Amino acid sequence: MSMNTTSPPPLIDVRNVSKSFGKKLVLNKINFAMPAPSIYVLKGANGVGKSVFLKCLLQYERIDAGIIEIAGNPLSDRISLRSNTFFISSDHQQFIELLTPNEFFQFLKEIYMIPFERIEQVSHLAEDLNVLTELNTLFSKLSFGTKKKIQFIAAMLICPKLLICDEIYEGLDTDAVLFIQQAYQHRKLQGMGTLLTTHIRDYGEEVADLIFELFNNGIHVVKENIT
Amino acid sequence: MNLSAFRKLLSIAYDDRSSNVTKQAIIDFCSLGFLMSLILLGIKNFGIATTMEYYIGIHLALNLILLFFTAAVLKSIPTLSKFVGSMPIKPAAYFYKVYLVSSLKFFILLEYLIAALILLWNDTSLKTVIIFVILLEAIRFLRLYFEFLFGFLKSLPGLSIWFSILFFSCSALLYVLNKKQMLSLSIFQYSPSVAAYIIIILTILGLLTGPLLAAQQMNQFSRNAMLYFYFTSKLMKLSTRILYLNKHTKAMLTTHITRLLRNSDYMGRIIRIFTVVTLLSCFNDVVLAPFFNMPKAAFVDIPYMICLVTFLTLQLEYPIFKNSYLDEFPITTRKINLIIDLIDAYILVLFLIFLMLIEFATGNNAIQMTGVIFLSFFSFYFISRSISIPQKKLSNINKLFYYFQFFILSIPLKIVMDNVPASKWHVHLTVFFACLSLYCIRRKIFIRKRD
Repeated sequence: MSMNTTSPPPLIDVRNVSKSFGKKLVLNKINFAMPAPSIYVLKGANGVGKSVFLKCLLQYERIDAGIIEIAGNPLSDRISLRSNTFFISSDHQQFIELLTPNEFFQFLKEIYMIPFERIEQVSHLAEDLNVLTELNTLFSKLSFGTKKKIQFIAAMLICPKLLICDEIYEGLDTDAVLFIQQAYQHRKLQGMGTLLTTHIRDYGEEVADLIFELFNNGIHVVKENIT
Repeated sequence: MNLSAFRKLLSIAYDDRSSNVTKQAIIDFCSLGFLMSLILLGIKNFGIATTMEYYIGIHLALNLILLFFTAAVLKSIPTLSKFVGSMPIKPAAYFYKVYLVSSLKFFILLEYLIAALILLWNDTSLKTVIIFVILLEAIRFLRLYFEFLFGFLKSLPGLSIWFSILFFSCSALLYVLNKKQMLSLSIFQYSPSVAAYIIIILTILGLLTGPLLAAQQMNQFSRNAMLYFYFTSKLMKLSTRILYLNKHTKAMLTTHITRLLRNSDYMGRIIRIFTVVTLLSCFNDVVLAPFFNMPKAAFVDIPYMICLVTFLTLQLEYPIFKNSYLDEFPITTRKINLIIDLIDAYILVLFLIFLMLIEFATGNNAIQMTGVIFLSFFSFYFISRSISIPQKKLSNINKLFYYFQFFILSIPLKIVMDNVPASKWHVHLTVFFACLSLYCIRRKIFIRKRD
């Protein structure tokens, strides 16, 4: 699958990317492009390589061949990559585990130089997501769903051009799912992009511009929502 | 549950294979033969009393070695407790049955029986023989008790920290007492009867408190380390206030310190480094310095020991933890490495100051010497940091390769430290700047430019 765009450059531009672990080929010459204001959903069975693909996009996994550019910059420009992206992982929260959500937000505020008015949103977001009382609890002590919500609030603080969410809907209550989907749409209106993976049927589909599926080591369009 | 059923349960828990039984029997038979030969040889050459004393000494040493290995692995008792905890067994029954199962073994009973017969054959009174066997058994029991105690410490939040603090406190106390000449480390001067009383009192305490330790481990629930958490939060806020750095660096530094303080593995390693160095310092003062009659030279080795142990344990064993997560944020690699180097140096300097204070308090040192020690410490530190270690798990061969790099680079420095007197401070200062240059150059060359 390839999408040719001229100007501005796509938010994600993947060209002929391959990745294998030993003899096992996971991604085979993948082509993928995602414009800035968009919501894309990536589906696929367990073990087909969805998480690997996302990690390759953010250079948490090295690719064997091909080119990936995020917001027009190559992955080798690490500072640009990290400034423009944020990853909500399904199982990898090594950094936050030993901090409280408030300490984590404070860290993000200084590192990303987040303006004061956006910091003020933390309490509103925490209230909407029903995690206000958990902001001073050690992250490792939080429940699975609450951990996802805290990561989501962090993403909203940073406001990255590209937000990548790996299985974000797992462990979330229905209200939180609706709230997060509205946030995706709001991000799109502001010109930002969101790419997410999900196992849960129907979740994310109604807000997605394009739904892909990863199978046979390649990415294929499944459904296009014309709005 | 009777004892044989419990024995079967243990074999399931430990996944004991039947093939190990023969192997174990051969080992037991050989060790029994060896011990009995020693007794007979001892009686012939030293007499009954000395032989019994040495036999108990060997028995104690063997059990300490076994305890060391068990404590180092720290797997058996916690795993077993978790397994037994899911069954309807009371903690007291669990504790005493583990003890009985490990003690009521054919070869152990045979050992006691033969030892008792030999002693009785050589006109030893029955009372003495009974006390002798009780002492041997008490030592065996204490080993098991300490395994339970270590298992309990492991179940605490911040497990490595508590475990390490215990060892560090003991060794630091030993060091201070030794420096103050309040305690002699020569154990041979104490009467055997004092040691016997201590062992028996500890055994009684162990028999009473053992079931409580077992109960703690069987009912494993999540314990919240609120006090430690509160302390680290306060420390983080305090460090934010006192540091006059830009906001970006300050955020990195304070967050990194907080994470390190709350990471029990990391802190455990730091405290264990201190413990090893303290014990080595004790060894320096007690054994090396009097024997070679060169206390100053022996003391200069402390910075080397600190850096060597730090290098081996932190840099070679724990490289992944250091900065892989910081890679997730838009922070330059150069800054990440600088922050990590600074924090490690800060922690080690605190420890060095602790040792220096003791030296000054005991009036053993001069200011000029102190300056040289600080210079040598930082020189060794720069050498250890100048070796670029990849952010991945290292094989033992790789570790050996990096250790040799450190060793070879530090040889010239050690020669200078051992042979140039403290009065020639300009030589030490030159060496210090040479090491600093090496650190800067190698950091610049070898650290991959990822940004």
